[in-house]
Amino acid sequence: MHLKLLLVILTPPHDGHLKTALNLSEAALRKGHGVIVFMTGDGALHAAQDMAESMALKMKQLVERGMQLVACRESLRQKGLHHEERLLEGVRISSLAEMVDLMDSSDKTLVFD
Amino acid sequence: MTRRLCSIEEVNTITKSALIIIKSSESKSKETFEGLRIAMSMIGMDMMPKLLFCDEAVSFLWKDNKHRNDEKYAHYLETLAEMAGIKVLSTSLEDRHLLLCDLIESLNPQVISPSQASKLVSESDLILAV
Repeated sequence: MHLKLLLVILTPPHDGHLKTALNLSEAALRKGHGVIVFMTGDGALHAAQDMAESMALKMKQLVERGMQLVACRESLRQKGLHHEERLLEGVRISSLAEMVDLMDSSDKTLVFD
Repeated sequence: MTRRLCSIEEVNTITKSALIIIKSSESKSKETFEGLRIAMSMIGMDMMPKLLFCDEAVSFLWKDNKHRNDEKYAHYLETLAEMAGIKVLSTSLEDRHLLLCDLIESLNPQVISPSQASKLVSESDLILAV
């Protein structure tokens, strides 16, 4: 059975949780599951273009393989990242309301805090 | 311009029950604030969350906590207390030699035992710990 997984990232880049989340996403995609990574709070900083090159590359590869990368609009605004040209390719801007909707419709939600 | 109303089938119905466990210390207040913001969004989407404060996070409910005068934070807490209710883990209070009377009275926190907390966890479809 293929699952829909939602991974919520609340922590900033230096906490290293994104690497774990991306490894988990890669494994889930390999098994045919759907993966959505939602970045909010300090986690929205991961959506910036100027983040670590290795992570940006990995995110791009996973997006190409079907992972959805979503960031909270209000968190981006608070971090000064509200201009789309400052964001990584493939990041979709959304809201916490959509995140709650995704939590409801996903089979599993995992929060990285 | 005419606006089309959504049909009943188009309106998403929230089906899951959520528990937000606030556990971080005041030094990680950003994460706690984000947890409260998510709880507010859940209420906005008709997913009424249950809020449980435990461990270091009980300090956010102290009468003298340093965020007390932060208007936005106080507003979130008051709204959540009114709409969803705030629960506090008894052992977290005991470990810090705190009593119910040391907490912000207007939030009307409800002290629950570890077994009641465990029941909350088992009854919830979605659990967020921040």
